[in-house]
Amino acid sequence: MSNINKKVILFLIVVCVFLAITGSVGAEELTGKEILERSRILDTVSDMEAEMEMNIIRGDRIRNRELIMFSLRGDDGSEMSLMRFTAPSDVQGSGFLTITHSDGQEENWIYLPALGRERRIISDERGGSFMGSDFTIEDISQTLTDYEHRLIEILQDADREIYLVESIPINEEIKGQVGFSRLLSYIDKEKGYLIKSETYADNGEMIKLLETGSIVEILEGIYLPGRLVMKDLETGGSTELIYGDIKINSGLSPDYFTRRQLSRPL
Amino acid sequence: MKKTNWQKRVADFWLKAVTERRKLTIVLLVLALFIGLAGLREVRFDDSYEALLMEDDQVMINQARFAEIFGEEQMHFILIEAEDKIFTHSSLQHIKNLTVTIQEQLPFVNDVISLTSIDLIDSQGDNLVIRSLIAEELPEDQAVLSEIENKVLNSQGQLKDLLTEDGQATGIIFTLQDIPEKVFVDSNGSFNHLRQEETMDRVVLKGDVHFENSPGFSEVTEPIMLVRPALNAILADHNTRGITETPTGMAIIAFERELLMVEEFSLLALLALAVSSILLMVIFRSFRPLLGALLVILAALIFIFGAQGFLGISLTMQSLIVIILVMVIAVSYSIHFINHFEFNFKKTGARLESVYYAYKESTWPILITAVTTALGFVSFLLVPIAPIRIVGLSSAAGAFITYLLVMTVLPLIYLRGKDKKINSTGIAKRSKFENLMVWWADLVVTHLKTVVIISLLLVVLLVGGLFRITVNPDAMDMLGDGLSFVQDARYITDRLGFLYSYDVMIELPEEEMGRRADILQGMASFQEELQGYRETVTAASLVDLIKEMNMTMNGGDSDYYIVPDDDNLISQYLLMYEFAGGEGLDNVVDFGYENLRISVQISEASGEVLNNLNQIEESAAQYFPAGTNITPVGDVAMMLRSLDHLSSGQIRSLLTAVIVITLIMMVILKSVKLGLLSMIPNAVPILMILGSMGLLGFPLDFVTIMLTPMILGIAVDDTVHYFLHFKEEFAIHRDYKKANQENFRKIGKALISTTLVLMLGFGILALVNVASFTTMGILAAVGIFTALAADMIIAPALVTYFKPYEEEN
Repeated sequence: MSNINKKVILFLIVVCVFLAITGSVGAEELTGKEILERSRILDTVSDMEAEMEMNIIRGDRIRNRELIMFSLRGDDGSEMSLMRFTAPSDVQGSGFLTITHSDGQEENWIYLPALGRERRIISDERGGSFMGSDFTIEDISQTLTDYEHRLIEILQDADREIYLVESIPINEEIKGQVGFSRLLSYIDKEKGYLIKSETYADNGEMIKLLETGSIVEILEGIYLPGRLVMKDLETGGSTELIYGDIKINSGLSPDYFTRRQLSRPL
Repeated sequence: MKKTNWQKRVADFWLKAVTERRKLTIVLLVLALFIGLAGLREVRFDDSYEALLMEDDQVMINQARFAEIFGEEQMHFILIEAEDKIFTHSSLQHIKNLTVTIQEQLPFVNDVISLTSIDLIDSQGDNLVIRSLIAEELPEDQAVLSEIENKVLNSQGQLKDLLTEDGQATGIIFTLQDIPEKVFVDSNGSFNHLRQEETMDRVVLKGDVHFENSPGFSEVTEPIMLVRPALNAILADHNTRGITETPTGMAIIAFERELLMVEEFSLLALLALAVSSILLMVIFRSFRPLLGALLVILAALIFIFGAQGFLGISLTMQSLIVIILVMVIAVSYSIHFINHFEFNFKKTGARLESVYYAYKESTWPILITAVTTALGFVSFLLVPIAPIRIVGLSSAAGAFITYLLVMTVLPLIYLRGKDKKINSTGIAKRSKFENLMVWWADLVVTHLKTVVIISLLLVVLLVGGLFRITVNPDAMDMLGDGLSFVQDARYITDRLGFLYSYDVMIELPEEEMGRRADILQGMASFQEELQGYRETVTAASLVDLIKEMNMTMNGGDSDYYIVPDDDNLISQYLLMYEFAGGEGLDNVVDFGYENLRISVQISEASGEVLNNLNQIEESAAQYFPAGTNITPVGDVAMMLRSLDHLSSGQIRSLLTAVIVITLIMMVILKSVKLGLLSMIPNAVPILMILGSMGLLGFPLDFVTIMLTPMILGIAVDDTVHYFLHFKEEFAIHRDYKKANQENFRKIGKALISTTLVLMLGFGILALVNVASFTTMGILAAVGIFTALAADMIIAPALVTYFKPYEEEN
């Protein structure tokens, strides 16, 4: 997947990663990797759409952005995603369209209403924070094979059991790229969704904390955290994501992912 | 001199302390020494620009506000030079590896910018391209690399600065994040940042730095000092044939300066001890005074620096002065005390009585000299530059501590031993030296006209020099080109074109204004004005990004390299930039789009830049709405403020010292007229120092500023002796010529020997491998010599011409 495409559907992935299908937990306990795999249903989804509100918080200041997002996995293996900003007013209508063809060729288009036309954008940008928020690609779209996972223990909360899974980058290069040396994930044992995750630096100090809330069952056995808060413990900043109107496998057509659609008034 | 009751009482007190309460005095001294030694362990060095200014200085307040908004970013450079070219696969691979390792391993690193990490916004036909300058997989094809090289050489702004025109040198630029006041390292015992083995497995790297304490950890109170050893280890680990790296920046210079200071402090301390020992041996030919004076020097330094350690007052380069001062005055005070002791001991052979005599005779004169010396240093408090104030206070305290120690330690030593039997009493014959002094006294008095003419000519010449004094706050110049890290910094400046930088902080009256077209257009015009200054190499801000995006979104047409008129378009460009992965917006504008910055890199911190900075607020007013605050910040702004402080502080400090010491002279000599007259020979060394600085091109800087008040405080001692003794001789002989002869005969030797001690002591400073101290050593020696010359030529001329003692008699 291209980097741009990764970014466009980044926040849909957020949903996918942290929404989870209730697995039939058998008599045998799962391994750390299996627990994490179970919570990732991206590959089983053909299309998605959602509304999202992003609040970037710095001290007592808040920057708000609202957008609608669509994504589709084509039958031929292509991937399409579209993102349109609905607020604030000065960026309303701005849009980003990404199509990754089955042969790996990638098309990225942007539309800025103030310019009145769409432009193709070629980028090999390699990461960092997303839209000035406290989320990075790596926070969300971790490649499971880049880490060694280990189920540390099963914690007993008031009325639920929680898997505590540790993920450690498999080598120094990956550690350098992802910018942390250890990730702890707390996952609801029964419903399979992520409760929180903690990111640690080389020196053992926690640098980021992700907490989820407003858990809703979006389809039978599929649970979604409707609210995520990522705190950067080094800078003191945080970003809140609030999801609404999530639809999965609603039958989006490839015709929806066109330049015309990108520049269509909202 | 008539001994008043209180002087006798003081002498009695001292004698009691060193005889009846000898054990208690020794125990207290030893205890104080242990406490001082404990304080020494806490002593820190700090030579940053921040350390120069007082915390309540407006520039420091602005600096703190800027750091709060944009972070306390410190830019550092590594110059990479290739024997061949930079744009070869192997050189670029090296740069890439180095860039990655620095980002991953260097403590406190924030951003690392190099040819292999920099992003490019470009237009290709109708497409907008945002990508790394050099692909992730480094191209092997030399033609492709040469094409990218040409693109860099023909680019603008930061990218262009990354490569020299000959293509053989590039820079890795890294910034350090906000560094906390202390961090912790797992050291398995005590940790000394200066003594790290600089290899990757032994040095403290990013992952070894902890922000919370744990058992077995050591505290690092100057975390910035961890950067240079780590960087050296990284560079050594990436050592590649045909490529050399030269790093510079605040973290590098701070470390090197601390290393230098530790070395120079040790060297100076050893030299000071050696010189004091030789002088004392030459003068007294006995180990007893040597032992006494050395103990005094050692103890005084432990007390002064130990107290600084406890009080958390960092040592700075200027603190070297304290070592010299203590050494010089300890020897000088010891000479006075021992002279009196020996005078009596030769007559009576009784130790206790001789110590008591020495107390009675020397308590008052030494105290006066300690007071005048301390006053010279106390006047440093009028210079609002932190290290100068610290030296002022610690030297003033040092003068008193040395005085107290001389009066305690020397008697303790001189009381030990048996009394001596005296066989003969006789009046000593005049020595050859005394005859020489008498001849000299007559020579001056009989050639008054010549003395006046020569003195006036000298004064005219020196006053001419006064107006040529330059002020130089440049730390590099102060350190001098003899130091390798200064040479490195200068070399990098030559190769890359810049070293110094400043920022202009623009605080708009309302939030979100910073994305308005009219505001950014005004800012673009203001930035152009800054760019127009002769010394400006580059000026960069948010405006560049907007212009770049506007141009690329309009097909790369350079007519669109402007800030567009549409507010929404600007917001959408910024959204696009963030979306496409562009980072670093928070480096140029704050979260609320209320505070912006323009970063200006300059080739030299010349007076012209400083003048421009002084007027920046005024010239910026036309470009921004009412209520906008425009403030220059950064090292150069701090230099500017320091420069102001240096010029005005020098005058204030010197004037105050002159006034206060004149008043003291009036009190001591009990005459306004005598007090005023006595200050004329004291003014001559000051004029000599300042005039020489102007004529010989020695600038006023953070070290040389201390010269004149300090020399005044020290030089006045001999004048006190001359005028006081003259008074006594005149009372006996009632004849100016005779009084002058006797005065020189009795105190001539003391004047010359103390001058020698002072000249040698301060002359040691010339051996310090720091340009300003060399200057100070030379000028101090010249000043002290001039003070002697003035006391031996001008003072007798004045006294015999004005006859000021007559009216009293």
